[in-house]
Amino acid sequence: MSVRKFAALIGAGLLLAGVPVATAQAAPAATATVSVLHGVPGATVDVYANGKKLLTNFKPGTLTDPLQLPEGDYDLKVTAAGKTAALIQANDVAVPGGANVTVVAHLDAGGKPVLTPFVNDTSKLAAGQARLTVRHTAAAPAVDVRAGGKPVFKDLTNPKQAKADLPAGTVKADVVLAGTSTVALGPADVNLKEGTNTIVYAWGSASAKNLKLAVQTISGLHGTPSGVPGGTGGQAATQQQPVWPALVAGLLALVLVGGGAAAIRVRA
Amino acid sequence: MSHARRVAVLVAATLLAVTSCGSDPTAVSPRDTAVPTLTPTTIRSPAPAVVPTTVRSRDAAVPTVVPPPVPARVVASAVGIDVPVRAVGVAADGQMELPADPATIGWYRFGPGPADGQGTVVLGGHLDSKQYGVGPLVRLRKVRPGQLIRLSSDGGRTTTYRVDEVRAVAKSRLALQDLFDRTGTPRLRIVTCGGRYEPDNGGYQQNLVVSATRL
Repeated sequence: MSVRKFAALIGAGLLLAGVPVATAQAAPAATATVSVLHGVPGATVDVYANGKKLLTNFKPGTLTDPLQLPEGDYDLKVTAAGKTAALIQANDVAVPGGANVTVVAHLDAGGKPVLTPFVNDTSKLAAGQARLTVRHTAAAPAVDVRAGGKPVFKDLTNPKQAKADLPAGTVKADVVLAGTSTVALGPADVNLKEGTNTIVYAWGSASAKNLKLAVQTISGLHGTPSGVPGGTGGQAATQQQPVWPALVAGLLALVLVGGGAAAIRVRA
Repeated sequence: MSHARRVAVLVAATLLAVTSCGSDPTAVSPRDTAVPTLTPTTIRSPAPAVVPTTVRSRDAAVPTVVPPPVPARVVASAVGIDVPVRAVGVAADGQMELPADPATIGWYRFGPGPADGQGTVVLGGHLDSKQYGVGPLVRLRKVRPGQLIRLSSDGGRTTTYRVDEVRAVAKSRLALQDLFDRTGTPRLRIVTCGGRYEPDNGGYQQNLVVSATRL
């Protein structure tokens, strides 16, 4: 991928996702949150940013902690561990402030190593909800992602993503060739923890038979219940009533009954 | 101190204040001690921004789901409360879900549990019900600061809390963000109802909140 194209991709991705540069919750506007996922099978690599080594002996299937990077343009280079020749290179990669991005080193649909930046949705969830994001970063054809045997995301191609907000809980997820029930990956129990964006990556290569799943979790997106109910009967409130109204009522009743009795006596 | 010197010190102090407010843009983790370099944000530098020196990474394979301990019983012996706890979530109306039976109390399962290192364990229960009558939580209003509340989990572990405060709050003014706090000191909060019962106005007008700190 050309440098320009790569930078444009990031820019377009951020624009499409409508990332509010100034309103991101945690980070000040001048920094971006960036994670790096290694999804190229078989290659232990070093990752350089602006000529400086960022990651050493970075193994396939591993994910970095989120880094707070000042916004700006970055020259990224991926080399075989201990070597200097670039396996993948991307210069002037724009990292805008306020964004939460995962940069994935992975194979494209044809099996060539590429870098793809994905924008992570960190908007707040309703209480009880979880966000599921799926990303196709494998050298494989179009797929459907199923939960409990039912397709949730259809016809996903490399390097696309899809997402949905769902009730929190554990789902049995698998990946099938699009429009079929031929399982390519899984099933795996994926915990969609409440208040998180759980991002599932399919990576590796179908032809090399090393397709795998990777999971990234972004927490702290939880909402809060709108209140706490507390009673449906009202009896406890009745119990709390002061005693004197009851006494008055009782006395009144006695008087009335007494009066009635007196009246009866008079008549009799 | 000479005037010029005082100014210089002031300037230095101001600069320090400026660089130390807000989060350090180059920090990777609290352990990272890299000195930040101030890079003007308006200039897109070709060989710019500082890159962190140490980055931690981890295996991204699908993690095995390990269920955390779930509260099973809450005991406030000073006021004779000893009730079973059931894990609950969010009701259709967006409020915390509560067990229908006032003799059972609900634990907000999406928030912290007793084994978590931070945040508030929230228990909530009905004071009474048309079907079941008045429940034991009616005695919550007799709880006093300093008394102990014990929460036992399904694994047999017991966590003890000391009461800090018992407070009645208008339902409309219940500080929900604070009540359901997932960070900060490990606490227990037990919520039920109180105040006047207005059947045509949503029932009870207040929430009674018992706050306790983990010992």
